[in-house]
Amino acid sequence: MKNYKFKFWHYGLIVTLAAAVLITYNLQADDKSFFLSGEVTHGHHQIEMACSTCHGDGFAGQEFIQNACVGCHQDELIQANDSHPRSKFLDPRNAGLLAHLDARQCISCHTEHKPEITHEMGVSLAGDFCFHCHSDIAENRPNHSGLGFETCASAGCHNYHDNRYLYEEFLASHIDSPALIPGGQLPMKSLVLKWHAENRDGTALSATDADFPADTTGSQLAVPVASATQAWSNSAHALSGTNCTACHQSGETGLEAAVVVENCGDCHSRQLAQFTRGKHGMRLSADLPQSRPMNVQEAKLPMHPHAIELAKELSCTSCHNPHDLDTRVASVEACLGCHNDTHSVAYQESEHFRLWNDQRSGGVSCANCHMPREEHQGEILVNHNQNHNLRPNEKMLPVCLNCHGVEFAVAALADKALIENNFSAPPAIEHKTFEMIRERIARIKTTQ
Amino acid sequence: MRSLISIVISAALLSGCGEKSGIAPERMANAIFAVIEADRASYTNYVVNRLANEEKVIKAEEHWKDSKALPLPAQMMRMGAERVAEQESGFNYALLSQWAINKQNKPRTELEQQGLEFINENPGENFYGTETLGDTEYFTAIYPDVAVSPACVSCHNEHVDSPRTDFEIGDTMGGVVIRFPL
Repeated sequence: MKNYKFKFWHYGLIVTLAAAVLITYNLQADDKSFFLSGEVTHGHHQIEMACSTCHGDGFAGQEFIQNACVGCHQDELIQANDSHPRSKFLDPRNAGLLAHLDARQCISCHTEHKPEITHEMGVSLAGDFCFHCHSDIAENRPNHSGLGFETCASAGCHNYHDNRYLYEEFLASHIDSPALIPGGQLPMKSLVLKWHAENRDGTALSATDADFPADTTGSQLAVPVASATQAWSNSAHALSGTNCTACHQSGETGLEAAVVVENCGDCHSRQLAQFTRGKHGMRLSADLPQSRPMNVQEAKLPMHPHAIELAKELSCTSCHNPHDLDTRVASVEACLGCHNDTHSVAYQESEHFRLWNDQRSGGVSCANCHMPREEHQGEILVNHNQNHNLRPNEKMLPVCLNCHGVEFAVAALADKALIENNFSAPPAIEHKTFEMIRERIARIKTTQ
Repeated sequence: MRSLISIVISAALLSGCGEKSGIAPERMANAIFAVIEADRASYTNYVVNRLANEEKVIKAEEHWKDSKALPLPAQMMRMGAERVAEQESGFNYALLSQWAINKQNKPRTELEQQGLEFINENPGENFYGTETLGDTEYFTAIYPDVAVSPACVSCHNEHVDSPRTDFEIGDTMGGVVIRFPL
């Protein structure tokens, strides 16, 4: 053995075997990071290691990927009245257009793992992509003559998918509303009121009704349990007859994130479905192969050092204290406990915050904008997907329009500096769109 | 020689036995058009015109979801066409016009242009042809889309983007294009 001479190919074999073991381990038992061909977009970074969600077994074709896109995003596209649905491009008369841009496939425009060519909204095409199909727009709309095609979707005028609040009639019908609507306020949430109306007999519980298992209260948990019971007894859970064991089924404490969302989802299924569509909760979606909560450390946005240090996992109770259920805490304090970007930090200097803090009309919390109150079958409910109305940000218009005129709101949402400083001043200039709308209204009036 | 002729004739007959006798594309397109036209006229007359124009209980508007109104007849037809396309049923149809309000619905192929001109110049007649789109050859049939109710003409004559404002009931306003890959 002493005299055995290693030859070059021996080293080659050892290196190859070692690499093969490492790669196989990474694929089978570790996080598959060796197989990540490039950074994914902001929308998918939470689930970038759930490879099979989009790629199946790794050999699944384009159809599988397309179905994966549709599987997660279809409901939202339907809700947005998608202006360019796949179905529009299935007519053979579009064959010539599809040769330039195959709009039937999501990944034609949203190529993943290509950070070097990915722009806002996860679009991986050059900014003037509208040109491919709308090159003759100035013939039909002379006032569009001279406008660059890179401005169509970047100036707050049009979006590819969602134009619910940007179409002409909508803007025209709201055009004369003042910058600040007198007495404007957000719609009132109706869930708790409705519950009380339907449960007049009352099933309210008090602190003495708490059914937290007694065998753990004698231990060092006694004080926390007592304070939690006190907080609970004044909460909507106690009022609605939801006792301790509804969540602490066997008296366990320190519940894991996946258990928390499951427990909460038993009663709040709508909120859970929305939460697992947003970036806070998408990792806990039942549609993913494994359930691993999002951690503050892994966030792409700037976070507070102490939140990073705590490696706080995100679940329902990250924002909602499970015992007192104070929604005012959940709608500002909880957000600012983690988020440390310029927009978030500037919020507490804004008029929105000042009025909210004074509990006056016109006050707006973080959640009021990012988790909008929406009408659903006559009820006003909070959408728990905090990314729902963020991109494109014109989706936030229905919230803004409760208190502001459409011209003011569109101009504000198109002003990046104003967003950065959290709307510390009115928007500086009027939006060009409205000049065009006014010309248009005048033309309609003269032709009638 | 006689046996050779017999073999050739037998082979020709036998090969003929293997062919499926299908429906001619023109006949199939006519049948599909009959269904489309019947549904379209029924919706226009008995739903939109009755409720929006005669009884005035609900409006029919382009942004029907937001205004809680009825979809316009042309939109209703396009919704059907998109559903059919999604089901990959083996054919496609579209509603086009030389005077389309939405310019995306103007003729785009040479045959569409030719067909729409033909049905406009020859009332009551249909147009049939073949064309190659992408790398596929299609049988294309174009049928006149006639204004069947006041709702059709008033909307198109009054719309600010309408390139033609003198439509009358009975006029050919556009065409229904039905396509089969050959």
